[in-house]
Amino acid sequence: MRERERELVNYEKILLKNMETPGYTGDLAAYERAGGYRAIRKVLKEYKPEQVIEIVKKSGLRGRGGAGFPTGTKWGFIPKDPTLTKYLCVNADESEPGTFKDRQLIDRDPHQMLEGTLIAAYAIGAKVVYIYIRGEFALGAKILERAIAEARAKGYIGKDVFGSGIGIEIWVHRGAGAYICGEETALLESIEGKRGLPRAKPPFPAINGLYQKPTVVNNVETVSNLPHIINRGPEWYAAIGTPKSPGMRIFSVGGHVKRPGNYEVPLGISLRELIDEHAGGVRDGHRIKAIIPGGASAAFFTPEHLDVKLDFESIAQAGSMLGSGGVTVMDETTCMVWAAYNLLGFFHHESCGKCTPCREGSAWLYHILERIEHGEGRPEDLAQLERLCGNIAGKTVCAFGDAEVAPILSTLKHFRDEYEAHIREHRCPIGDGVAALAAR
Amino acid sequence: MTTQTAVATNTVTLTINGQAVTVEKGTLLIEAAKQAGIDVPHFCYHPKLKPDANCRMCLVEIEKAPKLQTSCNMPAAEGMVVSTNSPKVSEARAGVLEFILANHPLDCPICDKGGECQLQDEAHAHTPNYSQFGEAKRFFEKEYFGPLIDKEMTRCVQCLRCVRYCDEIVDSRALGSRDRGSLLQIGGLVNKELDCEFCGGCIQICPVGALTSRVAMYDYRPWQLKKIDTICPHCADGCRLKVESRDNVVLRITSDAGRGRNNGDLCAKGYFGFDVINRTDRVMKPLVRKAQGLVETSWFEATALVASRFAAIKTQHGGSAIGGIISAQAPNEDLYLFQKFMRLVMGSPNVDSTARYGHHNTVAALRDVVGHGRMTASYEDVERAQALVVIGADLTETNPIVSYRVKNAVRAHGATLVTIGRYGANHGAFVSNLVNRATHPLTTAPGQERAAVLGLIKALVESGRIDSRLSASAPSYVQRLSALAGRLSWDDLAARAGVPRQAMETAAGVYADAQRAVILFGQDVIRSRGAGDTIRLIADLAILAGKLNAPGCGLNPLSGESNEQGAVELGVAPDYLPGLTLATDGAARQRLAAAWQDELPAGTGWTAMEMLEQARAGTLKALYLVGEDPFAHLPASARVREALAKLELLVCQDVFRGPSAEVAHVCLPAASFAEKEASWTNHEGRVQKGKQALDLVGEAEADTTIFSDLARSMGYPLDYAGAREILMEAARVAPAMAPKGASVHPGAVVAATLAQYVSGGFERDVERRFTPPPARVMSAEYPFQLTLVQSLFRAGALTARSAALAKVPHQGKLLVHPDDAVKLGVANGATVRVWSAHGAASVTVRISPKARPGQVLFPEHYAEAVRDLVPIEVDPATKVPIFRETAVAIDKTAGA
Amino acid sequence: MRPYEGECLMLSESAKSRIVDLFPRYPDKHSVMLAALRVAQEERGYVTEEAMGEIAVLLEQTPVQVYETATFYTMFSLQPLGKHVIQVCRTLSCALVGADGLVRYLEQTLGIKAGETTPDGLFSLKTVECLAACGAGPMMQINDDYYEYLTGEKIDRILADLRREGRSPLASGPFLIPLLISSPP
Ligand SMILES: Cc1cc2nc3c(=O)[nH]c(=O)nc-3n(C[C@H](O)[C@H](O)[C@H](O)COP(=O)(O)O)c2cc1C
Ligand code: SF4
Ligand code: FES
Repeated sequence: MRERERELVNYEKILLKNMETPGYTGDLAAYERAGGYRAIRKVLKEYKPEQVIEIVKKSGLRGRGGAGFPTGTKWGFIPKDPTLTKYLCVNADESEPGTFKDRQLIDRDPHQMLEGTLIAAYAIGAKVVYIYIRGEFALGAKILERAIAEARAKGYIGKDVFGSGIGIEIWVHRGAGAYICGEETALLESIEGKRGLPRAKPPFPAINGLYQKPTVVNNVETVSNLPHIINRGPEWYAAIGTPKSPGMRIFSVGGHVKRPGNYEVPLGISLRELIDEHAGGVRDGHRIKAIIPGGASAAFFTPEHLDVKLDFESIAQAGSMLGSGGVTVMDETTCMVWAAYNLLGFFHHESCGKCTPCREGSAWLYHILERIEHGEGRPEDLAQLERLCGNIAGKTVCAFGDAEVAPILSTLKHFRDEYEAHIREHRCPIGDGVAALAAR
Repeated sequence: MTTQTAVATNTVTLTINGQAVTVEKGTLLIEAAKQAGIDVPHFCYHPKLKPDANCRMCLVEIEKAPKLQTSCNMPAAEGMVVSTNSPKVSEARAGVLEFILANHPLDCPICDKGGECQLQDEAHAHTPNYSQFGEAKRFFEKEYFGPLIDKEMTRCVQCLRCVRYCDEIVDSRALGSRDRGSLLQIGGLVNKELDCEFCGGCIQICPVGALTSRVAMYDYRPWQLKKIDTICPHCADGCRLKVESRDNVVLRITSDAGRGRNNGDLCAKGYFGFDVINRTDRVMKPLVRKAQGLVETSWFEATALVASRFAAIKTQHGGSAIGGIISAQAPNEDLYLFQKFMRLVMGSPNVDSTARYGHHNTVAALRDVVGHGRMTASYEDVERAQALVVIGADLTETNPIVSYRVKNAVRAHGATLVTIGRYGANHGAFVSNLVNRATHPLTTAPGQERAAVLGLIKALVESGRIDSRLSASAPSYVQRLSALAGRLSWDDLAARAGVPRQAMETAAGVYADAQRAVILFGQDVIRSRGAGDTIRLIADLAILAGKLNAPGCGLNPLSGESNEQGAVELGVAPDYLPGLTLATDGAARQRLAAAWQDELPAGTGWTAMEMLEQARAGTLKALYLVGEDPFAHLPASARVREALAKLELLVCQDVFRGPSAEVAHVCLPAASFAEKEASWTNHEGRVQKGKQALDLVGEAEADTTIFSDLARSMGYPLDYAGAREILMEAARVAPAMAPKGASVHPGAVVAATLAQYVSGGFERDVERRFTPPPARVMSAEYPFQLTLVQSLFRAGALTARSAALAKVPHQGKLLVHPDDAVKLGVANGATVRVWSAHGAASVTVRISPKARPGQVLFPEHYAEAVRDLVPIEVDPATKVPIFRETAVAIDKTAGA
Repeated sequence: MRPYEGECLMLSESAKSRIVDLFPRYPDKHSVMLAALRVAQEERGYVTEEAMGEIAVLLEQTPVQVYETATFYTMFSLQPLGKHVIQVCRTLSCALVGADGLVRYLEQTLGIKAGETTPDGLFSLKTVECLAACGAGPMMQINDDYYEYLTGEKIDRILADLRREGRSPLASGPFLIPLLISSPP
């Protein structure tokens, strides 16, 4: 596939730097030439595991998988008892609609995430790591397997990592098609070979995780940050972004923008800057109607929110969430009922079915939206939708329940008139929502 | 002060609905609430199962928690302030119920669960009486779920209690969940009929009517049923069951969680096998033989006839010409009264029970070691053990409830499990097999379990694992056994057992090093040649390891029938008097005579097998069979028919007319277990009482009534006011029997007996038992070793008559190892001819690695022709008949 | 005659050894379940009941445990599928840029509806949820390969390639976007 060197925007890239360098192949030699595997050597030589945890705490790094939980703090929950077996799982399930950053981190710079993985494993005392990669990423799995084999051949992974006497094994575990397996406890079940059903908490994975052992689950992007934090120091990292949301973040921008893609920017820039300056703005002759700022589980924003800062707190304050960093832009040709209906199709299909409100609620909500979108809505449907969403949110086993109501509640809030028009006119006023396929 | 701190760290105090509650640390909120008398509505929670928190009904509000929390998986914490009925909680609960009910068909009027359905109850209490669900209801294709269980997916609340039960309790995993999201269903493999242990647990644990029994479908409404508790007669595990009937017809059997030795769990026989009681082809009236055969008669006539004939034979030939054999499924009252009747009224020492078919080997071997033949470790000890050694037992098939305990020890508590026996693992099958769970499976050649036990002893000695206190207190025992073990050759043991030396050494280490370790041994040991030696060796193993009477440890023989323990303890044997004293013990005879105020018949009587022999010889003139039918139990080589046909009088007293009735002179209709107020002693030694659940059927009478009537007619009244009075007398004359209350384990080792054993008693046959059993040489003519094994679905003549149990698929097959199947060129379901020096039979094959190469397994009680292939041998010391193994040849039948 | 029925639908010895080779990666054989099902699916194009039974034995589980896992994950099929399984992402980001049109185009071109297989057994068409290619939509996955930035013309070429060679050079390589959109690759 042909690529063109990307027009570099002012920020200094961290995670995408190597891969955006022309000719970078991502193999071990290339990674080492670019300075790779220095951080893990330093860690093994100079730091005790607790010190690594301290450094990461100090950097302020927050999880990039969705919830934004401080990574160092999460590691700190793992019991220190050296006789206990511990596991690290790297979450490469990337299934949140609108998000495609981890795929790129895996495909283009696998050693960066492997080095981060080794650092994380060392910090928590895990001797075995499973990288849970979504089943559809056949290429990514192959690339990772190859990278692991390269690193294992050089003694970077295996019984005696860099001659330190410490053994860390890394295995790729492929999923098989289930969004819910991105949820960390469902992911553990899936590694155990079972149906991916989230576990009821307590007990928490830090105490009772994979095979009932203390376990940390970290996202691909989260671990990819670690070598850089070690190499350049936590203070350097903490100075990027905002005080509470430090560091760079890769946003996956898609939908009706001119230049969809992955953009690594400091946390805290505005949504407007991301869309207009990095993603090239909305397509010509159109205007933005709605934006999902953090994957399908995040509430819709309107153009009024374009100046909201892209950091965990600001977005939450504005009523949505930073989530997975998947930004979907919709212009005025998009019917909001249709958009919510499309996403409920996703949630209905992906609900694992374990808990009552989500299993029953996702189907019920989906059917109501289907009716409304197809012109069969009833006036009482809107109150019903809100009531049902209220009966799901906060009452489910996992956060999926909160996610599935977000598109409905936010579109109802910002675009209620559109719903009413559907019901009143018994049809979709915008059209059937089918975008045509380009001929060439 | 110290105790106070201890208490403080072990309990927490919290507030629930304004009420202070103190509970043990770790108690789940839902249980804490229950202790405070507050019921939290729930579906998926069940105290037997690990919390899954999927239904979300049990949400409660916890102060300072941002969200509502499920009380079923949240442990109570100090100072928690919980509300189970705040407006927020009520709203959430109504919301969850609305979701559950949205797609529910509301077919309560035709649902068998109606009236005892958790969903009905909660809906009644917590939802408005109208529905806001305006969509089309979800529909599931109706699935055929086999002949015993009905699945109605539309009623399911997806709590997965059934699936979790099948997994966590039964370890069968025949049920699973399929698909996902709102299409999630429970079910078996693809849309096949269910294929499992059919314990009925999934039906019992379903909170709604999604799983129901087809054995009385649509036949009743739960509130019409009369529910009476009794004890299951089908095996020695001793389950408490509830007989639920209407108009004296049993419509279902259930068992309450939290009660009985079985904690509400059952097996197929207990749950589905009740239809035998309702059968109309029972013996309903007394029958006497006339020219035209057996004809119905009145009790008046029958009693008079039997009494006068017995009396005449007694007068003419003496009491010793009369024999009596009773089934060891009979309750204690029947057993006690029968032996008293035989000894006093008949004046005969010839009284025996079917405990003779096995349990007597255990008792004879262990009586001078532990003082009795009971399990010395309780079920709870088994469940809490760190190491378990199961020898010669296929527990899942023979003792389902004990097997649940063993599996739970392994799966939930991480116990190590050593299995020693002839069975291989059979992963991929739904009838679970302990070998599948074994951490150390020692698969031996058939009949070579003893070689493996010798290996364990040798390893114990050589690794210096002998209990140090024992070495100090009984040096001669330790030295002698060590010397004998030293003489054995590892190569020889390993070759005989077919188990590598190292495996035996590891197993010995695992056993000896565990703090709490229990040995269980079963039918392959007890009903084998040289059983007594093997059993005493097993006891030696436990003693040497210091695990016979250490807390939490023990030696557990598994007996076959439900009351073998009671039969032996109550003296239903020519060699024992009530209280497990030897019939030759003069002092004991005098004590009993004093209690009975009459002399005991002189001489040592005949055992069951001897009675048959004497009948054949013409010395025994009359035989009284109570619930036992030797014709149905013994192989052709026992020549039962020949023996019975010679008798001047054969009286069969039973619920059904078995094959022995063909030559009986009189048949007396007996009541089934459900029609009796009685007690049974399980193999732990626990005496458990059952109530009379049904009125007597037809003209059947309780066995005790029949004995009393006959006794009166024979001029020697044995009258009692009721079961209670009989049991009280039994407890008086057989003090070992005295019920000690449910909380006391009655199997403690008698310290004095053990002391005697290690100080000299062990010498009896010690050389012989330390000699490995001869290796079996297979002939080219009969290259397969056949073992008759037990089946979960058929424990004897009674269960064989259950139409419901007969519907269980895949039973009664010849198990053949896959490699042998290839050699024989047979597929699953093929018919083969099996023959031995004694006969031939035609059977269907089921391929399973549970049968090891060169061995085949066939369940007893399925085909007489197969049983008849096996020659009978009688143990010279205990007179226990051995008929479990033989060499056979197998051939594909033409055309298959 | 063979011991088990339906032998031809069972796992090959090489498939079994691929499964067994993974055991050392995990403390528990059960964990190999997904990989084992994948092997089974690759071998026949779908997961047969016989294969599930064999996986159960290898992994020391019951067949139902295999079955329940197989039915949870969308990548396993218990029904035979076409040689090339076309999976079109239908979720929002792709739908915004033409996924529905893509499905219609494929339906017309192949003469089948989504959920069906062509009579020659060459193609099955399904819609699936987001495949993490949102910036490169509309897109589809055919067996293991992703195809992105789809247009009518490109689809025609891909289908022709698959018919002719069994594979297509238009499959995406390692992912990196944005690419130059104005001149598609
Ligand atoms: C329904 C659901 C889906 C999720 N999917 C993903 C995912 O695809 N990738 C991911 O990294 N995290 C996902 N998460 C978040 C994870 O549960 C977990 O928080 C995360 O992997 C932790 O890593 P981090 O601390 O590095 O962010 C998901 C969470 C939920 C509730
Ligand atoms: S919220 Fe949905 S996805 Fe999460 S456990 Fe419940 S049913 Fe499964
Ligand atoms: S009982 Fe707690 S969630 Fe079902």
